[in-house]
Amino acid sequence: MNMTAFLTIPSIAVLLDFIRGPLVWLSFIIFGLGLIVQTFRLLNLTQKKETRRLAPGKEFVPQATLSKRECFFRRLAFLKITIIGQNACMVMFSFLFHVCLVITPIFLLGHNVLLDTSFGFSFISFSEKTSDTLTLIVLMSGLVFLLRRLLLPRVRILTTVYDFILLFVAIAPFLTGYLAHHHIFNYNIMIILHILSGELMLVMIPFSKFFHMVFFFISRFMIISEHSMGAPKRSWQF
Amino acid sequence: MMVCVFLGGMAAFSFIHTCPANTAACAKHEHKQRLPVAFPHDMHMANFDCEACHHKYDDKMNNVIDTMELYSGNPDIMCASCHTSETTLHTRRAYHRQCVGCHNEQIIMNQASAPTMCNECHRPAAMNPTEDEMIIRG
Repeated sequence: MNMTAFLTIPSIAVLLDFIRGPLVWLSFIIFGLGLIVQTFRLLNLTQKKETRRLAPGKEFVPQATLSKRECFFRRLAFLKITIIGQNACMVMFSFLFHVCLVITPIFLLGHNVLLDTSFGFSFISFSEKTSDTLTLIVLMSGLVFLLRRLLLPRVRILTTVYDFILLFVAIAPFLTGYLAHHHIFNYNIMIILHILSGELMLVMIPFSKFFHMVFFFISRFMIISEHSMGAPKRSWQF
Repeated sequence: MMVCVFLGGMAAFSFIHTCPANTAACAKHEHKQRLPVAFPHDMHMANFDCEACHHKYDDKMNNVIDTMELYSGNPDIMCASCHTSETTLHTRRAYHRQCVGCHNEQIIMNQASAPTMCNECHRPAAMNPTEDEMIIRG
């Protein structure tokens, strides 16, 4: 179908104007409000404190203080039982995936030019080549996650359709953006899908597993004594 | 393990190229990163006055350009002759506001279908229709 003809159909032009106008605002508002509401909901849930009851004869004995050197090696040894020690490859892909997922859209030249023309401000931006490589890293690690879910029995047994849908939603803006940038398939259709999938992802973040965007920091640093960032010991007891 | 992960991460990001000229806000940005835009001048001439685009503003933002200056080959009437990399409204910003701004207006006024998404203009030369085709369509 001829693209000019495609755009002159009034309903399609109106659709395009709608998805890159009001729908963007709507999705950002839902995203922002959702983040705030969900965070406060969680904080409310954790306000109730449980009373600690000490079992007789099992009083808390603080560990002997270690020298700096000993402490360092203890932590290093502790890494072995964390996910870094157990599954280093997965950690690396996950790390690359998450970093690229966050920084690529923010520092993409095209997005910044749009910001500049609309609001007169923009962030610094990567060169197009850099953004291209970062996008490819996201796509490759997405593929790794997909194959991992499909092939590893211990992961597969935990996997539901929901996981595949979320993986697809996370990857879709990058895939469509990459295809659109390189004029693979039809540019106009790809860019519409790109905008729509980005908005879908934004809206889904507060109300799905994507909310680990906030929960990660809460669970990592609020419950510090139980995770690898803190001292490897429990600060509570029965 | 941690070191491996760290080194792997560093290796993966070592290609990131950030020179100061590489920023979108940077006025001295001279990298031409996207594909060049083929501007169908004849098609625009057929539909608009010259002063719709070519401008020289006085203090009250009136367009006071002399139409006699607008002859083909005059270097002073090119966008980049005033909107250089030194000005606040640098070349890229000027182009984008002039083109996309008007294209958006055309769509809002429902007068014409004009390209507004990035790569509708920034596209391989092979995908550009010829000037004649565009006049017929426009």
